[in-house]
Amino acid sequence: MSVSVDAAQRLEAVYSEMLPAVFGFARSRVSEADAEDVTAEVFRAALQRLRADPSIKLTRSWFLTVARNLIIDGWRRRMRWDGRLELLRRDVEVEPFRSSDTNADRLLDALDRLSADHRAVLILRYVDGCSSKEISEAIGRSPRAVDSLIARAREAFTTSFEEVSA
Amino acid sequence: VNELELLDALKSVDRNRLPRPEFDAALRGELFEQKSRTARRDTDDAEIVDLATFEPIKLRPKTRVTRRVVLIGVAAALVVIIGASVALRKGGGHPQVSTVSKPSVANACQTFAATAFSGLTRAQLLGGFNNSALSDSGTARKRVETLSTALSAFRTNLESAGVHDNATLATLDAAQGFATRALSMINAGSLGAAADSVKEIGTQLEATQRDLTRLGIASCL
Repeated sequence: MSVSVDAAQRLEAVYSEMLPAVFGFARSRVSEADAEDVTAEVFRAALQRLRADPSIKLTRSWFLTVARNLIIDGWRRRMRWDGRLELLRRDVEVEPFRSSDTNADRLLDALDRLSADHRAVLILRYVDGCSSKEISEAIGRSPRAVDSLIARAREAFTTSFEEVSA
Repeated sequence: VNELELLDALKSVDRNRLPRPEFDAALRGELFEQKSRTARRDTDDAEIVDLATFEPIKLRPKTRVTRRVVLIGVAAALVVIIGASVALRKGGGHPQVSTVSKPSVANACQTFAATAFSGLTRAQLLGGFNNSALSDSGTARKRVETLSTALSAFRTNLESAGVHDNATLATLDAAQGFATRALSMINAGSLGAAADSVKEIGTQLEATQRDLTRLGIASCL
């Protein structure tokens, strides 16, 4: 059996398990269209990785870390934050996602209404747990400017949530 | 809205989600159809390599002339066959329908119904997980796996019975896709979403029945 066929079969074996994890991770951070792009890129990268190294075992952490790096690349292109976003690259922990919440869809709708930078700083701060200092170093702004950006993002998010809940 | 509670709840957006089925299908196609194309290419390459190892045979002049005549004959025959094929297509016929074995299709349907629903009525299974037999994820997973296996066998049996109608087979593929999706949702702990996918399987089976009726096969599902 060729390396290409073997790689595809190995990817197929984990595809159903990883698809909801990768898409869910991306969807909370970016719009549905962008999340689909990220998801497709992650699985293409997985296929290439398996072809290059047939012995490798791709873990959930690997899939989510690739997704996160792709999302950071997207933020960099979209928001013209400079290259210090590299500082945000890190392995994603393997801990299971939290159980489903009836509010989750409304929260997602509210996030979808925010500007890209507001959404990004909220996710970095409150979902990924980055400190204001880490975010300020990553996006090349002063800590005070980041705190101000987060405050505006929180306000926008609260208003957005009230609108989608109305 | 309490802002702090809202920000705390924000963590719950980070959870498993399934993309649109159309996206899922397209991505699967891109990733895994490539697999079968690669397999075909590998086979073709292997044949080329094998052929390349043959020593060329030195033919006498008379043999070369004979070979040319034979080649011209083969080419002419191909032109005639292709022309006839095109004419047949322009005539709008559906030659695949005529090869369908109705008793075999009926058997395929009966086998499917007997295995897919395994003791439940069709309405009980496809109506969602609202009965006690399907109320826990372990039972639901087992049922959907059985249904998925039965769908796969049903498709194979229909093809063996001569049903090569693209629409029918695509409908069954869609049903299989919903079964896969339902399993993913059960694994993700969302029985409600899984139930929606199972209901979609019912819709696809109804469409399959309509396709079979169109092909001249009486109601069997």
